[in-house]
Amino acid sequence: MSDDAPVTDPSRNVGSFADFYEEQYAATVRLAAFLSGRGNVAEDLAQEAFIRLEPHFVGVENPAAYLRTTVVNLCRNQHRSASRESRRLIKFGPPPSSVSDRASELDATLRRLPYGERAVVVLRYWLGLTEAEIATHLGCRPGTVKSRHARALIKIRKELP
Amino acid sequence: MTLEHELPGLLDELAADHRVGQAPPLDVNTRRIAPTGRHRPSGPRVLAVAACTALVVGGLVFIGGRNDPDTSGSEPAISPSDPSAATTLPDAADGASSGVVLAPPPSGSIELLSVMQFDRSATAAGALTAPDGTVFSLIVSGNPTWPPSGDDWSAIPADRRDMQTVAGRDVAAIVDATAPTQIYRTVRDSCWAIEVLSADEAMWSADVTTLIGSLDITEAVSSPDDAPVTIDVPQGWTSLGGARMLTSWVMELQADVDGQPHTAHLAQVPNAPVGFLLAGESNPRPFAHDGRQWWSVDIVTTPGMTSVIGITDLGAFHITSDLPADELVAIVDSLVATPTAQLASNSGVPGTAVIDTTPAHEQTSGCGDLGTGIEIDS
Repeated sequence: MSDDAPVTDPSRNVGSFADFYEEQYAATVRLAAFLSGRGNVAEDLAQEAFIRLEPHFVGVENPAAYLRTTVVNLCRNQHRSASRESRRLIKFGPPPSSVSDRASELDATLRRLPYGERAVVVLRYWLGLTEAEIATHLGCRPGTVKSRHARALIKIRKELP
Repeated sequence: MTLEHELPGLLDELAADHRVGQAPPLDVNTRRIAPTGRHRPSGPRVLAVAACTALVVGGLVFIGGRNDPDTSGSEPAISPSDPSAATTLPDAADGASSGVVLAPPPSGSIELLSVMQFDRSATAAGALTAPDGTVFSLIVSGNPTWPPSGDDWSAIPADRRDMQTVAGRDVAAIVDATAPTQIYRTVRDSCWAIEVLSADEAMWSADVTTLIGSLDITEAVSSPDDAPVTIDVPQGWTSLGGARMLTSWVMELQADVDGQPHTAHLAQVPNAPVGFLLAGESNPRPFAHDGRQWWSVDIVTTPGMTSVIGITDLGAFHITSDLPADELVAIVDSLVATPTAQLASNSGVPGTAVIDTTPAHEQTSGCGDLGTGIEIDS
């Protein structure tokens, strides 16, 4: 699991919302970028997730998990962002990337995966979540996570032999 | 190393490539998070976009390279002088790869750092000006959902969303979470996602009703030369044109101003009306330039960044940099008409090939193709 990934410790001792926000912001943006496949809207999605968390921050047992689930749901339902993303792309173009060819191939492959499979890969291999935790975030059964995981790996292996 | 062991490292590499700036400040009184520089077109924010965003753009070719002094020399400078061009130009035409665009002259102070070519967008866009000068944008794409944010509609704070029946159509309005003066209104339709955007104080107004009432929506377009959405421009309104992009050229330029290098991003859509690139901009301010109306936009989410959107004899352009509008105008004025074939030959500097990996656009059954997308008749 990445050191930069959002915290997964269910401890409630996370201090103020402002501190939590500062600590989690960058990682949450990156999670949104992975899940949405659209880097340009990732900050919008992350901010939206924090806005939604804030009223519940004091009451929820695990704000990090709440935040993560919100990001997962926002990225699943981001239709409105598509046209904005298109507009930005047309006006500014995509930027160059400095990642290795293999990472770039993985990036492209992830974006071709159905949302559920992409989310399983990111939550499993970037956040290091268990099948049960992923199932909770995605609102599906652990068996579904297992099958999506298997299908995703087959597709990734094809692209990254 | 197995794939399972390799994936975390590759994902970390991708995450690191997505550079994120400081968290924007919190305003706890209004429970809003201040907007960030999400529109910033250069530097880390643009790098962060990575090559992953071609979702709704058909094909993309990177032609990166520095301007070769021997190749782009003798074309005449553009003299934009036809004020009617914004409404008389045809929709974004084909053949742009063999067309002409603005580019730095070989001996000038502006350097061409890279060129990218985009092919055929899956969205169409246009703009109109209301009698009070407010700019309304329309963006049309396929695969509509209702409510427009899908299952997430009810999770949007109540003060940022509303639904009403306007001119006989169901319309959902959402106030942008990060740019509160931008309001997205989606017209309910079974085939097309039709967004009506404006920088307004109110979600609903007489102008909104007038504009939505002027929409003519065709579900099944029979010809690729037809548009599923046409607008009979209301009395007192002005058309800025609409189009579905077939080819766009995006250049990264470097200009020295007062001894300091500045990077500018210039997008050009040959033969497109200005409304295509003006669509979606928040609070554009019109100004006259050589007998034409151009527009400047201060990017509120990134202080110091400015865009100028306008029209030349070649079509619409959109330029953005950390320079004031008058400097951007001077940059555009210094560019010369250059055959795109010459741009393609200037690929001396290694660039990152950006490959379109977008899944095929799935069209809703029975809806036909987007065709030319949108027509705004004067």
